[in-house]
This record gives sequence, structure tokens and C-alpha cells, in this order.
Amino acid sequence: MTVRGAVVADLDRLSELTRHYARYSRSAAGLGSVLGGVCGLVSYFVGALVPLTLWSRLVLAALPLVWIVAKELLQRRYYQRYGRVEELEGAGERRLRVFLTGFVAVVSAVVVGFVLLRGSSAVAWWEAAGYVAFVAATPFLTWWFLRTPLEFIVGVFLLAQAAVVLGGGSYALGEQLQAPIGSAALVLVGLKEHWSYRRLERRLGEVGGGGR
Amino acid sequence: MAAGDAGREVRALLGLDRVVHEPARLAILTVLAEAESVEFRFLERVTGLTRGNLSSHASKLEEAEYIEVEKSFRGKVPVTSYRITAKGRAALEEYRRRMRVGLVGGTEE
Repeated sequence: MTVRGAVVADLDRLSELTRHYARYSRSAAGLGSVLGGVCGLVSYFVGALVPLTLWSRLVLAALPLVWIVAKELLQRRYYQRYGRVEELEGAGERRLRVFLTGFVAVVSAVVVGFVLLRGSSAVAWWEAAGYVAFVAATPFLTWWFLRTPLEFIVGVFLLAQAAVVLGGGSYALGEQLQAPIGSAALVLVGLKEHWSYRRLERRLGEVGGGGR
Repeated sequence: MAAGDAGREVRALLGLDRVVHEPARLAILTVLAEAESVEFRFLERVTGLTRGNLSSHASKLEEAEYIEVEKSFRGKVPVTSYRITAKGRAALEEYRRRMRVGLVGGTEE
């Protein structure tokens, strides 16, 4: 290989390394995805199979927030610990994010409007407030934190389940089947991303020798 | 190598952007082209440059308006991030195009 050929190959490797690492700022969450999948499965089966008490409702309502906070912390403190590198967002990805968030925003607005106009005397004020708060927050949380289609499926389910259990209900087994399927897939994707990161970490260790 | 090929290679080399042609700056631009923004620490690791060298080359790239520098604080820790500009991206693409011209014997991809 010529000197210039070697330079081009080195630059290609540097590009690939950066793209790979940058994914862990946005589209790859590794163990954060695993946690999201586990939260999705727990929320789905506990909501459907376990009689709901005040505490189990509060736990189910807290799950999406716990996941989002843990996912962000893992990305910032663990996967991006060699320095923050923000991933480029392609036009197609952005369009999809706008579409999904827009869809959720319309549904949320209709639901919140319906609840506010119709009111409900069947539940306590804090239950109704909790329901409305989660539904209203869903588009914002979707825009900022649910960055892949799988995260969207699981995250919106978790938020919807949180709203529903606070409102006094829950999804039955067999309803919302996209949730357990998406959650299981998210666990697998997260494990794959984590293993991929471990390989990347070894490469970063190799290139991270002393400065010149 | 035929005389025509050699001539083409020389012309490609003579037309190289000197700001980009320096290996450290080329590495910096290559990394920045793959992300929205990149923190100093990551650049330091993947390029293997010392802090002083990296700052110096980044300043030259900033002077040429090929990159933008953003300084902020995370808690009490100062954080420096870099972002490639449209001008910098164009310069890097042109540089890599010229490199490929020489490599593949005068044909462009």
C-alpha cells in the first residue's frame, strides 16, 4: 500500500471509530436499552397479572421516569466517558422523529382535552391529575428521550401504562401486544449494543496511548 | 507510472489545502466530520495529540473558519467542544477527493 493509501485507510478507520462511539450519545443505549426492555416487560405483566395496590401503581408510574433517567446517566457517564461526541442525525431519522412525536402530540392533546372537558368524578383528583400529567408529558419525553423506533414503542407504552394505572386501570393481558414484543427486542438490541461497545472500548484503549 | 499520471498526481498534490494537509489537523477534521460536536477529551484520545498540540492545531482550524469552538462548564469543570463548519466540511471533502484522484490513477469516484 502507498503512503497515501495508508493515510486514507487510517482516516477511514478514524471516521468509523468516531461514528461508532457517537452512536452511544443518541441512537444506541446499550444497557439502557436492556433496562428499558426489562421495565417494559415488568410493567406489562405486573399491570396485567398483579392486583394493583397504591404502591404497585406508584411503582408502575415511576418506571418510565426511572428508565429515562438511568438511560441518560448510562449514556453520559459510562458510554460517553471518553468525552461527549454528539451523533449526527440524518434527515430521514429526523423526519421519523418529527412524525412519531407529532402523532403522539395529537393523541395526547385529544385525550387531555377530552378529560378536561368531560371531567371525571369516578377517580380522586390526584389520580386524574397524574393521568393528565403523564399524557401531557408524553410528547415532550418522546421528543427528547425516545430516539429509536424500539425506544418509542416501549417508552410510549410505559408512559401510557403509567397514566392508566394512576387513573385506576391497567392494560389487560393480550392488549398492547407491541409492548412485550418491543421490550424483548429492546433487551436483545441493548445487549448487542453493549457487546459492540466493549469491542469499541478495546479499540479506544489501543488508540489512547500517550500524546504526541 | 506514465508521465500523464505523474502530472495529474503532482497537480493534485499542489492543489492540496495546506491547512487540511497537516496530519494532525486532517485527523481532527476527520473526527469532527462524523459528529455534530466532539469534546476535547475524545479528540485528545483518538488523535493521540498532546493537549498543547491539539489546542494549537484547533486554533489554526478555527482561524481558517473550518471549525467552531464552544466553551462551557459542566458543574465547575470547563468543557471545550468542537464542531465542523460547512466550510470545513467542504475543505475536507475536497482534500479527500484530491487524495483519491492520486490514489486511483486519475479517476474520480
